[in-house]
Amino acid sequence: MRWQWSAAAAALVALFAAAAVFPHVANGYELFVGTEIAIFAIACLGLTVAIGWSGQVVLAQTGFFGIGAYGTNYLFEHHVPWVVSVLAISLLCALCGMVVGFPAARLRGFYLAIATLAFAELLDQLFNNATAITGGPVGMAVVPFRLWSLGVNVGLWYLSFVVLVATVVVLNHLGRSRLGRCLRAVRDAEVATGSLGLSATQLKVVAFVISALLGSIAGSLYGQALTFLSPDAFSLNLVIEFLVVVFIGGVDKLSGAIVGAAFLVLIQEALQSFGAYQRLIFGVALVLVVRFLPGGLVSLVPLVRARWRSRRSRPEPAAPQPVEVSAA
Amino acid sequence: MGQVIVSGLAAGSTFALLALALVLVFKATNVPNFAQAEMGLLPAFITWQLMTTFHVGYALGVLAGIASGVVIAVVIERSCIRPILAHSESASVMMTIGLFFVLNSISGLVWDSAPRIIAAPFGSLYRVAGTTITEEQVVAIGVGVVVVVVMSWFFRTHLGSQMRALAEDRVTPRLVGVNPNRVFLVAWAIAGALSAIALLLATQSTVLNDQSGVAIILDGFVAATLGGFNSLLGAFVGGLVLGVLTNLAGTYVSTSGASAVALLIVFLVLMARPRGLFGQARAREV
Amino acid sequence: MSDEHLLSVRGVSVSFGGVDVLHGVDLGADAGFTGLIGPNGAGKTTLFNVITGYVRPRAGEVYLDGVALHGKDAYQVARLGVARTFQTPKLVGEMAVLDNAMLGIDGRAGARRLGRSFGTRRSERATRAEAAELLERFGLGRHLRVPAGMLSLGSQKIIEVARALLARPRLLLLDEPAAGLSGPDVEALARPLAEFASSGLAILIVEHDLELVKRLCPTVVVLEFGTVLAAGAPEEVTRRKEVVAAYLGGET
Repeated sequence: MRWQWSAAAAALVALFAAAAVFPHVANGYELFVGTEIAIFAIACLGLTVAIGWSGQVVLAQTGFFGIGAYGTNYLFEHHVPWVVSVLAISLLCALCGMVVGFPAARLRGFYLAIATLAFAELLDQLFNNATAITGGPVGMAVVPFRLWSLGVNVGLWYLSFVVLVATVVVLNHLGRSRLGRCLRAVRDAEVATGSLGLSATQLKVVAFVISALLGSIAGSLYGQALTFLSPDAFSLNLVIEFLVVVFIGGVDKLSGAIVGAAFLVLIQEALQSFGAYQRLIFGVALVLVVRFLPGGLVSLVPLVRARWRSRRSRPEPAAPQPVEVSAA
Repeated sequence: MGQVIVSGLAAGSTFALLALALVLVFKATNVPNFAQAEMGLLPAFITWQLMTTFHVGYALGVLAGIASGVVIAVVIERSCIRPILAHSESASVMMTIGLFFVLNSISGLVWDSAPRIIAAPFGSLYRVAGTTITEEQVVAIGVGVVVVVVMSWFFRTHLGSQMRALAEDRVTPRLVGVNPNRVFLVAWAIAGALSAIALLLATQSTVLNDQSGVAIILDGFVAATLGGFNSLLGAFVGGLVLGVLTNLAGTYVSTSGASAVALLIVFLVLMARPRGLFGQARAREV
Repeated sequence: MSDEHLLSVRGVSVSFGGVDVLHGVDLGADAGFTGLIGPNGAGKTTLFNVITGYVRPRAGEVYLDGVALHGKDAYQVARLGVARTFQTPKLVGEMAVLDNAMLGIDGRAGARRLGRSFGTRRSERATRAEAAELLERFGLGRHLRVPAGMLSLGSQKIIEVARALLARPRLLLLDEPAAGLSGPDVEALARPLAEFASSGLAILIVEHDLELVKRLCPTVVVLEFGTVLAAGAPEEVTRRKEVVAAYLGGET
């Protein structure tokens, strides 16, 4: 058991070292991609909580993402310190999350998806029309925020990395304790939750608010990653991108959000060179992946493991039999 | 005002047909098909191509288009949908999203985004109670009504009742000899035809381009949601209501107001009635 | 008032779609076992649903130690000290047995303090220990880390009972706990339950196994077609003509 702890500690140190060094070895483009992955991962971790842990398929994340970006930039433009702006907008999104979350808790499956999609689309319309705040379709210039005396992009990378790590640590802890258990009960045994003294509605709202918070914070960071905000960045396309991340990475593990985000961003960057054929290739790739790996890319892991085991001629573990318990 | 309502009904009829296709596919195979409109877009382009390059007549072109819609739907169902039905619902959703991208980009690449016009022979105008109604609008609303009637009749046939049975209960009908594969195929085939008709109607009064599907897919979902995914009539009425309301909003509020209205409507309706306007509550098993 | 029971059900009536499923049901239960028997479809589970707040009655009242339960949501009723099991166990199949049991503690009234909510090391350890200890009493000590869905139906039912007990209820409602259990399993279940019953827990148990009912319950209530047919000591009640007739239509 102890060697696992030192291995984990060593890995963590290596990770932090790599992150510290990254901006100095990567060029501007690579730094941007890395930052984008971290930011998307944060937003998708929110989806892991809402969709994966509490079983609510919510498509509203892009709305909170957009509010985070536009709202933070707007306040910062008006001389509110950046960090305070981020916190204020996160609070706003948390409140929104509560307002939307309560009625959403009564909806199931497809209706929930459509209702939250409608919410995201309404916000998209808002971004397009509230010209006074968001600059409408023309967009809004981003006021760059400098972390201490670091370069804007370098500072943003460190900030995003730290927020990502903090989010993973906090969520991991929450997931393994009371909140994680209760949310799983809401997802997999909702009928029983009432009898246990747990309000499924309240728990669902909590998950929704956490998701909104993370979406908002990620959005605030994303606003800084771009030099210019336009409503296109937060449209239906982004909804689909988030969905793909969640599908690829697997919806209920924290690592899934990170893996999925990395995949999506890297593939999109790789496809840039194909111009008009981008969409077609992405679509075909998606269709093929779903057709042959309906469990998402994460389902490759047990498959690979099984192949590796049989190659080493160890017999496949027998399917577990139901266990009879008899009194001692 | 009457004008606005009539054109709203015509547009709504299109939404309703798309909604019917969505409901059919959803009830049969439990898949919300995001590619439903795109599956009707290709047939519309095929009709245009036949009429323009090969000088095929309108009626024949439309028939060919609908037929191609059926073929496309069947091919998709067989190769992409059926194999993954046993897996999670999110897999099916992802598949339809992928298909949406594929079909949409094919349309864009083959026919580019220049607007096309399908030369429909409906040019007459009628005056009823002070409002001018175009023949196209009459056709749109009429086709919608005819389709609903035909579908209601269909669900009373043997195959139709099998489809309804499978939608309610996945297991028991198989025990009495219902072949689910055949039912799924027919459901998708019919939905393919419906989407083709919907797109043809939608583009006859405006132009046809690669965004024509995207423009109405959300309305289709909204109409289906309003109807509660349970009744044909609900979806049809939902579509008409949606068409009228969005047209009213578009005229008296603003053009972007139109889509906002659609979204707001569905949002509010679902808040008030979590199962849609016509949806039925499912008994909870305790 | 003549009857000051711990659980007091008065004049409860429930209709589904115009059909009366329960009609004017009166019932009282105190610490110890009370059996609820009757043929299938008599409305026993529906009565449970009314008591636990899953179903709103058309008429009637339910009191636990003088506190009204009727009109409250299920989770509110649970927080007042009512726990239950279901005919088919409602566990989180992919979650470990121990974690499933811990859910019973998670819902306890005191558990929603901030420290408990965030899951401090100490509160988590205490929760885990308490759940593990009870599961040991029920003979599941070896399977704490196993996903609950991998165990047999009998074991799953036992887990559900443990989960309910961990909520430290005043009233426990068991819906056919012995159905599908082997003899030794029933013993594993009955012994700890009897200990809880004798220390003040009121247990209302729906069962078809009449031998078990006669052994455990000093009082039984017979329900048929939504009304109370008889109530009293099991040997005496099961000998009555109406009760025998009701069962001949149902099962042996």
